[in-house]
Amino acid sequence: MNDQDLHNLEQELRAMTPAALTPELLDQCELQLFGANLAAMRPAGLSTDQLDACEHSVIENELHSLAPRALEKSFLDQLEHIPAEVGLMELEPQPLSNEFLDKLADKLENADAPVAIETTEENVIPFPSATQKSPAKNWKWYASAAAVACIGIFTGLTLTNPGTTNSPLAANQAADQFQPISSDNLQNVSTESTFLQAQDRGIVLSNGSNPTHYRAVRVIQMETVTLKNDAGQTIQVQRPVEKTVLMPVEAD
Amino acid sequence: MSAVSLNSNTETLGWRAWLEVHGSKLLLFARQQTRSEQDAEDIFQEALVKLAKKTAAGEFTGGQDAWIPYLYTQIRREAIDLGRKVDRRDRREQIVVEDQKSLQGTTSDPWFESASDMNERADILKQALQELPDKFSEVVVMKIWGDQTFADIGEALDISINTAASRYRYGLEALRKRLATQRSTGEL
Repeated sequence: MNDQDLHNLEQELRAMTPAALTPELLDQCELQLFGANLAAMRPAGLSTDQLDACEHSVIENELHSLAPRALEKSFLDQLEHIPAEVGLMELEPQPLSNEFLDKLADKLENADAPVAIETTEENVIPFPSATQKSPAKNWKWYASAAAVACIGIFTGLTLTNPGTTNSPLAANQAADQFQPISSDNLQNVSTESTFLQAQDRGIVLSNGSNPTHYRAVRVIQMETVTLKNDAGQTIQVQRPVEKTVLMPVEAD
Repeated sequence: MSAVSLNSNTETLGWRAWLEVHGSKLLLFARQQTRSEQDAEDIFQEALVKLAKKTAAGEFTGGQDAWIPYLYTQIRREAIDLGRKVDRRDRREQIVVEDQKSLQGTTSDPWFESASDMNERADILKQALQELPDKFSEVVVMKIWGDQTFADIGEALDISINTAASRYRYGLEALRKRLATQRSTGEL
């Protein structure tokens, strides 16, 4: 209904006498006027803030539709153990006994002192005593060495020296004192080992699938072999012997 | 660890079941707070360990519903601690790597599931969210997927409720502008 129609309706209403207006007619007129007023209304435009709010709501809904990436199964398995791990963390290990603590303190205080190595009997190679009589395993070597030594000494003392007098007085004098010993049938009389020196060479590790720790000790001895021939003459031969002794030790 | 019941109306879940339901959104927050997937998993795990310890010791007040706000707060603290530990030079190197990745247009650690029916607009939103300044994206993540109130967000991030609300609005506005830009350039 446009403005002209409204105007015409108003004119008709004014021309009508009050007695002619029945309640039904009045309602009809009011409805028509109300409808006309509604039609004349213009919807108000949405403000910028209102538009932004609408868009924000749309964006919120779109964000809600995005699903956060789920936990990987392996990671979930790892996280599942956390309560058990926390339970284990609450367990306290048994405290050290006073006896063990004293032993540790003692070890730390005496850290510079030589460490006593505990080994089983069969693994212990005892240090030789100052004089130890033991049969030489290779005494024949000593016999050979004694024979060569005798020959060498005799030759040195009897041969003339070009720079000296024809008759070497020292050689004659030595020859008087030195009686040559026959090297035939030299027999071992005794063998002695004299301990001279021991040096700690540190800890070594054996090869193999089950390595064992050893303490290496360098031992220097002097072996003295006394030999006697058929004539009852004796000769002593000395030779230094160096050995490396390995002693099993306990290691962490 | 026995699950703690909040009240008779709340379903109490076992540890693993609870993680299956809520773990992804908490890990999303951890990803937002860190620079790598590994760091995100680490800080998430650390936060869970702290929760487990408090619960086992009987020091945690509230039921399973209180776990989520606690974990958001703890994840953020772990991220801050991690950030302090990482060497400045390493962080610069990692940022260079991240820049290179963004230039290539791909991210090796996606935050969201990729669905077959996901439209282009959703892809732009995902990327835009990851590129938002941290102070905005963390609020958006907690509000949208964590269903946290601004009061909870303020407490977790140590900011006021108003600041939390403002940052949320600014975050959404930044996303809206990004979408508008894509529209204007014809990419959307």
